[in-house]
Amino acid sequence: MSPAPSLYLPQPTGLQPLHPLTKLVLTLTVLSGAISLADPRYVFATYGLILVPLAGWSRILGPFLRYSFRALAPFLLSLVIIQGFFYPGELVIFSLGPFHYKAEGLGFALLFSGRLLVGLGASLLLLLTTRMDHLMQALTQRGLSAQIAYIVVTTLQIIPRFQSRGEAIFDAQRARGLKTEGSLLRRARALFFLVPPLLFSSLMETDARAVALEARGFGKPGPKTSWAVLTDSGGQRIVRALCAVAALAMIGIRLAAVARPR
Amino acid sequence: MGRLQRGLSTLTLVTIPVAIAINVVVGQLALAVKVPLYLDSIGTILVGVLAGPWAGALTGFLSNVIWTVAGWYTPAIAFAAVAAIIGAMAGAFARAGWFREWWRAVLAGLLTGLVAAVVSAPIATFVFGGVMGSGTDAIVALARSIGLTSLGANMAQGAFSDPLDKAISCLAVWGLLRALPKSFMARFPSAASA
Repeated sequence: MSPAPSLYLPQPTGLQPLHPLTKLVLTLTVLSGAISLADPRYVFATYGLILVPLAGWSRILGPFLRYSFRALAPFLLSLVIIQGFFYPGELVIFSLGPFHYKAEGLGFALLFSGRLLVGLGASLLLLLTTRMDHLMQALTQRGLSAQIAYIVVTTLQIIPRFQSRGEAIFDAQRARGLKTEGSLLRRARALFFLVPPLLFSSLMETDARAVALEARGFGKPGPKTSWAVLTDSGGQRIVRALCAVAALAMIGIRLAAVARPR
Repeated sequence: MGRLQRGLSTLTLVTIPVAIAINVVVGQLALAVKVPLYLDSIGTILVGVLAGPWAGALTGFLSNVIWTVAGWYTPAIAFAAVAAIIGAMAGAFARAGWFREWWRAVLAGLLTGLVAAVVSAPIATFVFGGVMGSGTDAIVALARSIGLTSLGANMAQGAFSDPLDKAISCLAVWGLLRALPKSFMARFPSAASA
């Protein structure tokens, strides 16, 4: 069976050994920076001077940059084209027929690209350095419903099996002569022979799973023990507190700037 | 939140991961046969219908969380609230009996799609600068070239893509409800009204 879909890259140094909550708080702090900083230079500096060094420290710089770019590229393209032409502004850089490409639009596109780069980058840094089951365990210890943690972890585990089942049905129906190419109508029709087998076979197994869980006392109230032990430290608690203060300060300064009459 | 704090039944709890996996795999099948639909909320709608609005909302929300953490589409988590609304609306329509006839299920899908378009447009505008980074951005560009604002263009794009997708998804769930064994359905809390 193929492993659960995950971006996690284990390393002995950097962010990886830290407590999952520390990394989550760090990500949320950088995200609040992304929404509250209004100067593109500061936004790009956040990426270059905070996220990139952290990725380097965690020895995932290559994958981090690759995933960041892959996530940003489609937005960057659409933003630079659409906002450049249609954002209201006066400074025309060039014209294409009736449409004018304006500097204000390009500036807006760059600011938002920077914000997206920082937001996507912060999320990717968390996902690349944190095991999802450990993050869920840490959140459950802080009061997240164990049911929600179960859903997230189980879903990630069963998706590979579903994907191979989907591929098997796809291949089986094609082997029986199903046309999955051609006109739109023909391709839409193909879905009629692909989707129902997948739905029926997958829903029918839920019964057995429910019985298996009940038999192991999943529904019982009270605390549950966990196999993995998460380590925390005083230093990390201080970092988390400082991050929270920084996030609140950035949002506060931004709100004050927006509210101030010009 | 009362419903969630009491907790989900074990059957609902084990059905939600399966439903999310259905969202993912059917969405990927739709991509594989190159149909211009998302078809990534059939599982969400199904849970809404079988287990009620809260379970549907939770399925939609966590579905988008999974898209992000699995690394397939990092921005998905920003639209988790939209997916939650889709699941909640499916549950509410089912309780009102709208999943008994096929044409009312289609209508429920159209309305759900319109609401999804209205709710996701501000997210696209204010979080992502007015683009989605996908093929639908061509529609956004077209709408803005005829003079719509950024928010208006994102709504036009959603209103163009979402209702059809959700109507077909609801119709698929209607068909599924007719085909699933009664013994399976009877174990869910809300199935009687569907």
